[in-house]
Formats: sequence, C-alpha cells, structure tokens
Amino acid sequence: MRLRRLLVAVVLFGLAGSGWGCALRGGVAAVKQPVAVSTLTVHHVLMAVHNAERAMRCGLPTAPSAGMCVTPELHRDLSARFETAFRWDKNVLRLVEAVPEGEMEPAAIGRLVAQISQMVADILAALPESPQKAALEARVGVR
Amino acid sequence: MGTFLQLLEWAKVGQALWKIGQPAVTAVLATIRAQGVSTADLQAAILEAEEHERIAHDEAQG
Repeated sequence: MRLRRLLVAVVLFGLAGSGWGCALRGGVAAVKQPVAVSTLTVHHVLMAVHNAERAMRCGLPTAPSAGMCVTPELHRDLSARFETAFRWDKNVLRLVEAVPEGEMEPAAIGRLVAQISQMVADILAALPESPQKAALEARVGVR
Repeated sequence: MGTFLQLLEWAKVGQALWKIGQPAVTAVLATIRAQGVSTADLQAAILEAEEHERIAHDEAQG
C-alpha cells in the first residue's frame, strides 16, 4: 500500500507538467522531463523487483531457505505477470520517447504507469516472506 | 505566492521520490537531478524492458 502511494506520488509529479527545472541533454524537451523521470523511476523499480524475484528461486545460492523461497510454480505465475508489466513498461517508454519536444504527454502514459505500479504491488504481495523480500522492500521503499 | 506554494508541493513530492531512491533507483535519480533524462536513457531502458520481457516470457513457459 505504501509502495502504491509512493508510486502514485511519482506519477502525479511526472504528470504535473513542469517544475523539475533540471538541465537538458540529448534532445528531450523540458515539458517531458517530469514524465520521463517518473517513467524511468518506475522502470527501475520494476527491474529491481524482477531481478530480486529471480534470485529468490528455490535451489539458487541466493534464495531464502525452503518454505520462504520462490517455488517453480510461483515463479511461472510471477513470470507471466512480469512479462505483462515489462510489455507495458516498454510501451510507456516508447510513448515518452515519441512525444515531440514542447508537446504535452498523452494520457495513456499515466494509465500505463499506474498499471505497472499496481502490478509491482501485487507481485510483492505474492512473494513469500523472507529476509531477501524484506531487503527488496527496503530497497524499493516499501519498508 | 503561487510560486511559493508550488515549491512547497514540489518539495513534498521530491521527498516522496527520494524515499524510493534506494540503491536500485538512486543512480537514476542522481543523474536526473544533475542532468535530466536523455533520449539515450529512454532507449537504454526500452532495451532493458524488452530483454526482461523476453526472459519473463521464457520463464513463464517453464
């Protein structure tokens, strides 16, 4: 729930329009900097959760002990959710990249970022409790 | 006055952003704060997303 609130704050910040006031590089227009920041932040949170989940698979040296690790069945289920989340992630990044300089971002960006945030929250909830999960939650700001 | 209130709001949101700025995203936020997001950053992230989508697809098939 806390992660969701934080990610919503990121989205709202990104869609607020302007105000980050950072310098530009590489030809990205000022009007799309905030939404680019939000989108990239959500992308990196999703990447962190995916990498951590893969490292928690039962049998790997990085996995928690039996009962707390990610079973093959759970991993298949979560992988299907990650596949969807990364497809949305790819699409929203392409949308941000395609916005012409100086123009407002399409509303679909906000919807996709919200969908990814919800998927991340659902995946985190599905992971068994373990020290590795606690470390992941601390890393992405849930704890 | 409007500008002051805007700054106050941005400070609050910035604080929320910083809370999730733990190791996984700290580097990105540091870059953003210093230089902004470039087209190259977006393109690199798209490639990462495609790679992870492919991995997830393969692993979902078992």
